[in-house]
Amino acid sequence: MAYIDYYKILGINKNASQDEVKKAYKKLARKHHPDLNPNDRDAQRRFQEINEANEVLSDPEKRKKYDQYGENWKHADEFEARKQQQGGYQGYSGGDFWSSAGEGFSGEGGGFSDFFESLFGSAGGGRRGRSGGFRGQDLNAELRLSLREAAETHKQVLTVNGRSIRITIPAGVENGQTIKLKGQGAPGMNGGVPGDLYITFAIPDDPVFKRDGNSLYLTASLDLYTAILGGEQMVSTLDGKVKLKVQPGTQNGSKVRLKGKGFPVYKREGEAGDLIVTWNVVLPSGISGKQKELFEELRKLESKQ
Amino acid sequence: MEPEWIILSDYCLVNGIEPSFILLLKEEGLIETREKDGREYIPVSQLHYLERYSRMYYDLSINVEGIDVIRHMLERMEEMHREIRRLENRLRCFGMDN
Repeated sequence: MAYIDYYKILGINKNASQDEVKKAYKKLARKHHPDLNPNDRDAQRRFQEINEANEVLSDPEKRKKYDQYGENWKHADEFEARKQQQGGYQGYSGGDFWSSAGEGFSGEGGGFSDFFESLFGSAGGGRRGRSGGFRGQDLNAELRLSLREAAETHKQVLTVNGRSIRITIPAGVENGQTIKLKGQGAPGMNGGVPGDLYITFAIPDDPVFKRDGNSLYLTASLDLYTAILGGEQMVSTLDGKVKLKVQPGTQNGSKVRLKGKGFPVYKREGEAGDLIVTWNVVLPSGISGKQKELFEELRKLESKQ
Repeated sequence: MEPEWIILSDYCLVNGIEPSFILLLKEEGLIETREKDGREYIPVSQLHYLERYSRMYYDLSINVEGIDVIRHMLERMEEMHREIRRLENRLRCFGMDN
């Protein structure tokens, strides 16, 4: 646990007045407040630092203690105990150190650092909203889903901060998409409302299908004879295999569109995009002497035409 | 079952918000309220926005016009994020993300 320079965080010098602290805090808070930087974890982290620095420096009592011990904060309690034994220390009265709540934000801010809690105790957070309660911290979680899982509405149980949360994931969620679960974040304090839980989906590439929005792409192999003469070929879809008719003279790289066999449309039950199959015509390998003769004959026929 | 509308004066009292601030938000078209039997109500679905605007107003000292500008900008930012995500996924689909 390292010493935190609250003055540096707010960009002010040690002689800054209370007004300067307030001004510096407001300016930085406007830049990094989570309401103005949604889903930005860096901004949220910076905001927590700023909030904590303000919590200490805007409160004369806390600032005095912070200034007094500075980088020797680890020995703060030891020093205080010694001073009290000597009877000469005029400390904070009545142990009511925390009664003066700071003018912190009621927004998403999060907790305090270990450094802060070592110096001021875990009850040292004086952030108080207009309601008198503390809104719980917003939580972020990442959920990995396979492409096939993302294609079906299903329930999952997540463990976030030791708490099990059962959620329904609608079919059609996208890689990188974030959904908000209101009130599923950290619980509020003092009657404050709980924070929200933000879940971001990570959907790795599928070995069979490629996805572009609601369209699915599949490359399917086709033997030379079926490509030339036509026929039928089994291909995979999300619902299982289907038999496709192959037109005679199908070229390598040509595409077939299967309507409604693509990816489900998010929050539109029963609707799905298309599946686009690209034919990959595979030439026969290791042909026999007889096959070679027949191909030679085909070549001659081709040149005569 | 949770109520869909709550009495505005009760909300203001519990949350320490001035009714005049709500009126400003309403005038600016940032929230909607409804009057019934001489009482003003706010839909529960709007509380999330009201909480956010209150933080901007009280904690960040941003006035209501500023809140409206920020709201527009955040909406545009969200649209752009969606578009970036969509394009990233497209690039990935066509194997051009490296």
